[in-house]
Amino acid sequence: MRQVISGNEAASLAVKLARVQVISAYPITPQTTIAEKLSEICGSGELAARFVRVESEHSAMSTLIGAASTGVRTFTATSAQGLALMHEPLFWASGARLPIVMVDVNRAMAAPWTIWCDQTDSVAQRDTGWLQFYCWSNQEIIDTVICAFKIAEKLLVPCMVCYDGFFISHTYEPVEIPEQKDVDEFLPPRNAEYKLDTENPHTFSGGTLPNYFMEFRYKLQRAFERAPEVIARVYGEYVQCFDRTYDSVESYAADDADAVLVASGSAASTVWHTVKALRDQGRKVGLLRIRQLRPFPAAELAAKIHPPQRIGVLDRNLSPGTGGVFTQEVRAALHRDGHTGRIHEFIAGLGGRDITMNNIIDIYDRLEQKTANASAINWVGLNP
Amino acid sequence: MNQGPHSAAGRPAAAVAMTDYEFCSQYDLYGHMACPGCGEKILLRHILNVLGPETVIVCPAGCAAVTDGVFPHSISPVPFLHVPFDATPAAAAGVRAGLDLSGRKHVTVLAWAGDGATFDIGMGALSAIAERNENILYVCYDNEAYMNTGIQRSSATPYGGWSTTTPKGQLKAEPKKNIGAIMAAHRIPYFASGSPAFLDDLTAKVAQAKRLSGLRFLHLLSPCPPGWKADPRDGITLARLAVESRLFPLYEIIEGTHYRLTHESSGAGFDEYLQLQGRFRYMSAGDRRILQADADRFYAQLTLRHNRNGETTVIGEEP
Amino acid sequence: MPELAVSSGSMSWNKTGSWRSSTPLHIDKTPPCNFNCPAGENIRGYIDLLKHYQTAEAFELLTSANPLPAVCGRVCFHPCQAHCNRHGFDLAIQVRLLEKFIGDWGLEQAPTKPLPQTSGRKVAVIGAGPAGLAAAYYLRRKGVAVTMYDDHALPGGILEYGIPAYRLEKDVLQAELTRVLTGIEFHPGMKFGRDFDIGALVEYDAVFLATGAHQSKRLHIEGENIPGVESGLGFLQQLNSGEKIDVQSHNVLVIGGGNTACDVARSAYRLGAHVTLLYRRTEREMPAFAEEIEQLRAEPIHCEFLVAPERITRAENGTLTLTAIRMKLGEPDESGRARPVAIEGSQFTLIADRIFAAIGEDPDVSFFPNAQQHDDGEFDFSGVDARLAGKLFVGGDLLPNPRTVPHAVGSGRLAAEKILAQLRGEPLVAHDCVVEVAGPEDINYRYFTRINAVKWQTGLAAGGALSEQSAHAEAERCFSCGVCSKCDNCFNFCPDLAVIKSAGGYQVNLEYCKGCGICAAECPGGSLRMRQQ
Repeated sequence: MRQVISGNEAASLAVKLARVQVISAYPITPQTTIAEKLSEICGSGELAARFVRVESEHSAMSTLIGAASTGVRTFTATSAQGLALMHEPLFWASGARLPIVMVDVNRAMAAPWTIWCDQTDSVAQRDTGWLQFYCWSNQEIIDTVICAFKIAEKLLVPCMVCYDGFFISHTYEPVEIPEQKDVDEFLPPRNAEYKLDTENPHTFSGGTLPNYFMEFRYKLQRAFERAPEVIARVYGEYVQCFDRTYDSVESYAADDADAVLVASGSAASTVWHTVKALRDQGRKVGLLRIRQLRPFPAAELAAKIHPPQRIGVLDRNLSPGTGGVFTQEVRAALHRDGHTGRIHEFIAGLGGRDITMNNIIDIYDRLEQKTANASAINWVGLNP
Repeated sequence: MNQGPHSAAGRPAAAVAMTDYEFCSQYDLYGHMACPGCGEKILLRHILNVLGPETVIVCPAGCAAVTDGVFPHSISPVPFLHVPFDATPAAAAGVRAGLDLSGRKHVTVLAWAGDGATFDIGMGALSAIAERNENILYVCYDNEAYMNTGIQRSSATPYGGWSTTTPKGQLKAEPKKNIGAIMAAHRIPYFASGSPAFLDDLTAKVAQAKRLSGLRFLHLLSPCPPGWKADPRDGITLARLAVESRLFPLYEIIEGTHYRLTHESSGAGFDEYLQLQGRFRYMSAGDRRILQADADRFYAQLTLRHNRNGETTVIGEEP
Repeated sequence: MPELAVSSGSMSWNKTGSWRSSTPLHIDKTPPCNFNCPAGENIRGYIDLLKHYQTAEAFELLTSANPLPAVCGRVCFHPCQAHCNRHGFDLAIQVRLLEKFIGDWGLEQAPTKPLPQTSGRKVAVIGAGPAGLAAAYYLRRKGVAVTMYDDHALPGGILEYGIPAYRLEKDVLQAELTRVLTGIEFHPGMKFGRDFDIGALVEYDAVFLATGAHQSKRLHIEGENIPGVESGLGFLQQLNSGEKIDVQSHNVLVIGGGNTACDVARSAYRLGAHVTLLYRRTEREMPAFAEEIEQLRAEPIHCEFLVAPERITRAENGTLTLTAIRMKLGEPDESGRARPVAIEGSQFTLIADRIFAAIGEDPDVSFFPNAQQHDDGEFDFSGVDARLAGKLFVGGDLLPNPRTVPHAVGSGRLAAEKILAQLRGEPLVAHDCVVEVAGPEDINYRYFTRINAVKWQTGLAAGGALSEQSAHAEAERCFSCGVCSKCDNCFNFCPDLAVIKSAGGYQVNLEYCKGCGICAAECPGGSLRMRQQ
C-alpha cells in the first residue's frame, strides 16, 4: 500500500509493523510526532504494546534496558539533547547486548538553542556501541527500521536509525507500506536466549573483573565485524519479501566520476539531484552515499573509490578541533585500504542551514578545479 | 498500636517463621562479598524470603551490586538485573512492562537500591514511577551515605554526620531528606519504613507490600559498620537504637494520607546511638540537641497523624 | 563464555570464613536461678516450658527435682529471685508464683502415674519432713520399697507443725503430701530411739535419717525456765496441732530474728496478742528470709532491735519482767555479721504475759549417744552401730546446711540418688563441677523492655494466683540467662546465612561466617560468645 506520509510517520508505522512490545519515549522536537503517533497506535489498540511515558530520555533508555532484558522487542526515539541525555545508558544497552532499536531524528546540539538539523547529536554517540544507519527518504526509514530489529536481534547489538530533523522527519513522501503479514514473516517475534526468567534465574551485567571485561568488549567488536555480513543477509531477505534493498555505501554515477562527493542523510539527496544536473552538463561527478556510521563500511567504500578520483566528504556535523566525523572515518577507511589521495573535507548545513544545489555545485567546482583546501576544512555557505 | 517485636513483657523478637528459611536454603546465598555485619544482606534475605522465587531484582550501582558477586557468579536466587546508578526506577518500570507483556504479571519486580541511588541520583526517575504508580516494589536500603564509593555524603546522611565529603569542620549541616513525605506526596498506595532489628514488623510490611499493587516503597535502615565507624557486632543494636531514639521511627503511609506508627519508639537510646558510631564523633553538644529535637518533632508529627487517622488499614488485613 | 555478562554460578566458592578473626561459640552457662536453687530445680527449664504453655511438662521437670512444688511455691525463700538477672533491671522473675502455679496445677490436674513395681530393695526413711519426703519420693519412683517413720501423728514435719497455716494452707499441704506418699508405707507416732531402734532397721538395704532440728536453743539467762517463758517452735507446733492457745490481748515478747521468731510473732499477732520482737542486731542482720521480714514489718508488730535479754522474773500475778540491755554493732564475727556488743548500763525492762524464745533450733540425736559432731556442725554417725555400717544416710537439718525447706528437699533427693547408686553398686555420678554462672554482663539488656514493676506485679497477683495466661506472660519475661532459648536471633540476624538451624539448636557454618559478632551481640541471654582466633 502506497501512502504519502512524513518521515516520523514512516518510523512509527515500522514500529507497529515490527510488533514492538515496549515503547518508551520522551517528547523532543523534531522527534515528538513519533511519540505522539505511537501513543495513538498503542491507545487505539492497533499495537499491543506498553508505552511507558517517562520523565526523561535517560529514563526512556533505562526503561528499555529493563524491558529488553525480559526478552521483549523495544523501541524509542529521540533527538539531540535527548540523545545526549541517554549517553550513559547507551553504553549500558550495548554492553548488555540488548537489541533495542532507536530512531534519532538528527538535530544540532545546543548551545545556543536550536531545534534544527545537523548530525552532531548522533555522530557524537559513535563510540557507544550502537549500530548507526542514516536514511535519506521516508521509504528508507520504514524499511530500515524494520530491518534494524532483525539485525539488532541477530547481532545482539542495539541499533540507531538516524534521519534529518524536519528535512526528512516532517517531509511528506509517497511510501510503500509493507503488509503486516509479510513483515510478520520477515521478522518473527524476538527469541532471546538470555532473559529475566524466574524459571531460569540469572544475574545480568554483574561486576566483572579485568579477567573477563576485555573479552566482552572483544565480543562486541566481533559482533560489529560480523555486522556487514548480517546486514547484507537481512537486506537480502528483505528484498525477497519487499523488492527493495539498500547497500551500506550506495554509488551514484561514481564509478567513472573524476570528482566524487561522499555524503549522507538529506544532504545526499541534494547531492544526487546536483549530480544528475551536472551529468546532464557532461561533468563527470558522482555521489557515494554512506548509510552506516557504525560499523563504518570501510571496505565497501574503498571498493567504490577509483583513484585518481578527487574525493570530497560532506559533513553536516562538527567535532570541534578535528572537523567532520564522516571525513575522519573516510580518511581512516581509505588509508587502511592503501589509498594515498587527498580527502577534502566540507562542512555544511550546521544547525539547519540549507545545503543548496549551488553549494554542491560549488563543491564539485572546487574539487575539479583543485581549489579545495586538502589540509583544512572547507566551510560551505559560511557568511563572512 | 502494634508492639512490634517486643511483647508487653519485653520478650525478644519472635522467630521469623521457619518456612521462610526454606526459600533461602534451597538456593545458595553463600559467599557474598558484603563487609562483616552488613545490614543490607540481612534485609535482602528476609525480604526475598517473603517475596519468594517469583521475583526479579533490579539493582543499581552500590553496595548490593558490588557484593552480589563477580561474573560469572552471583548469590541471587532470583533473576537479578544490574542497571546504571540513576536508572533503577525506569529500568524497573521497563522490566515490569516487559514481564507484563510476556504474561508474567504475577512476578514481583523488586527495585533494590541504596540511598544514593534513591534519594539523590535516581530521585527524578523515582518520582516519575511514583507518579505513574508503576507496579513495582521499590526498596531503599539506606545506609545514609555513599558507602560503596567510600562514605561520601548523600541527602540521606543525617544532620551532623561525618563523611569523607563532610569532614570534621564541615559536618553535614542539612537534615536527612524526608523520603516518606516525598513518597506520600505522590499518593502511592503504600510507603513503610523498616529496620532489620524489627524483623516481624519488617516482614509484615513486605508481605503487605507484596499483596498490594502499584508503587510500593519501603525505606529500610541498613546498618553499615565500616561507614558508620561502628563495631560490626553492633549493627542490629544500632538499628534498634535508631528506632527507639526516634531517629528512624517505624511507620507506614497508606495512599499517601493515612499514617500509622507500627512501633512505639521509647525515645531512649539517642546518646548511646551516637556514641557507638564514629561518624557522630565530631558533633557538638548543640548539634546533638538539634538532631534530637528534629527527631522528636518528626515523631510527634507522626504520632499526631497516627492518632488523627483513627481506624485505618492494619497490616495483615486485606486492603 | 557467554556473549553477554550473564552469571550462572553461585558464589559458594567464596569461602568468606577466611575473613574471620573471631568465631561465635554456643556455650551454655548456668542460669543464676538454677545455680542458686537449694533444691536443684531447673528453674529456667520449666519457665521455658511455661513460655510454650507446656504446663504438664513444666510440672514433670519441676517435680523431677522437687516433689513439693505447691509447698515450695509458698514457703521457699526463693534465692532464685534474689539472683535473677532481671532483678535490678525491673523486677525479678516471680519464680515463687510460677512454682506455685505449677504446683497447684499438679494438685488439680497432674495425671496419676502408675508407680513402678518394687524391686525387692527396701529403704527406711526416718523423719517425714521435706528431706525424708523427697528421699522417699525419688526412691519409690525407682522401684525401691520405702518405709517411713515419724514421731508425729501426721507427715510433713516442719511443714505440718512448724509453718503457720497462713503461710501454707493445710489442704494444699495435705494434697501434696498425699501425692508424695503414694506407694510409701508410713508409720506415724514412731519416734526413733523410743518406739523402735536399730534392730528394726537391720532388714533394710539403707536407712535415711532426717529427723530435723526441733530442740530450741536455750537463752542461757536467768529465769528462762520459769512458767510463761516458752519455746517459739513449741508454740508453733501447738498451734499447728490445733491446740487452743489464748494470747488474746496478751503482751507477748518474742526473742530472736529468724524465721521461727517471725512466724511466732506473726502467729501471736493473729491470735490477738500485742507482740514485741526483740533482736540483738539490726533488721539488716536478721537471719529470717527477706520476705518474712518484709511481711513482719508490714504488720503492727513492734520490733526492738539491738536489744539482748539479760534476766526474766515473774511476779505473783504471773506478769513477767524481762530485763534487757541495749547493744551496738561491733566487728564482724565468724558469720560475717557485725557482732553485737552490750552498751554498759543501758539496761531497761519490759513487761510481758508470755515470752517466746526463738533463737534457733538444734537437732536432737540422742538416739545415737555416741554420735560425733564436727566443728562445722556436721554429725558423724559412721561409728554408731556396726549393723548400719555403710547403710546410713542423713539429710535435712542433720546436715550443716541452712535450715530451709528447699535445702532439705535437695538433701533428700541427693540422698536418694546416693542410695540408688549404692544399691546398683555404682559410684554416684558427681554433680558438682565448676560451672560458669550467667551474670548481668551476659545479658543483652537493650533487648528487653523495662516494665513497670509495681503495675506488673499487681497485675500478676490479681486473684492471688497466676492464670495460665499470666504464668505465660511472666515466663515470657525470662532472659533465659546463659542458655540458648531458641529465639532464632543468631539465625535471623546473620548477614552471611552462616548460622544454621539444627535439631538441637544452632550451628555456625565456619566456611562462611565472617565473624562479625552480631549473633553474639544479639543473643539475649548470653549463650553465644565470640572467641578470638
